[in-house]
Amino acid sequence: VARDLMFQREIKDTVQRAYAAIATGAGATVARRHYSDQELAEVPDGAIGWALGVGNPVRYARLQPGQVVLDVGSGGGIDTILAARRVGPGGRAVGLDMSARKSRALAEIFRVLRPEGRICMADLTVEGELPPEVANDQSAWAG
Amino acid sequence: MAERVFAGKLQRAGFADIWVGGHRPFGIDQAALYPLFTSEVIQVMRETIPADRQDHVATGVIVKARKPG
Repeated sequence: VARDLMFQREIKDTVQRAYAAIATGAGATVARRHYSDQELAEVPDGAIGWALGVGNPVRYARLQPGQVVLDVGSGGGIDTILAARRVGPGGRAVGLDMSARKSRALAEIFRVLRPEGRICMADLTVEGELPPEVANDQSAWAG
Repeated sequence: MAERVFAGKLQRAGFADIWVGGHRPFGIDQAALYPLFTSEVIQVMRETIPADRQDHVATGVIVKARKPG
């Protein structure tokens, strides 16, 4: 157990160092992959420059005016801002950046959701194994 | 993490009506757009991942689920 916890700590430290080393604006190319020109026109350059997500969950979330949104893993806030625009002044969008194991994060999201609340997230799935040279490379953990 | 494993984690957390869609291939060229991947690990990917898999190393997905009332 202690070894597993040390490994988790090592992953967390590696991920934090990787994010700290990113140059401002480096996410703009990623943003253009996932968001339309119209969506990008709705958010400030600062949020576009830190867009490091792997999808556009707001496009799928079918948000309605007045709803409350918690953007977990908000990063630079591009999805938080888009969600805020969809729910309007009568709703609320809150961005929360976090780094935790997926199962723990899901449990916490479940805890804070209201009954009948919905989760909508973008992520990457991998079928099969990656070569050990890739899977064991620390710089791949953050990505 | 495989898609079915991901869905299983959601189910164990208590979520219902789990939906996975918006599938989009994620290859090495897409990974290279992300500053989180160093040029060294991108090079390792190009050298170790079979050529026929390099344009679909992972899959971008949208996952939706509901907390039962």
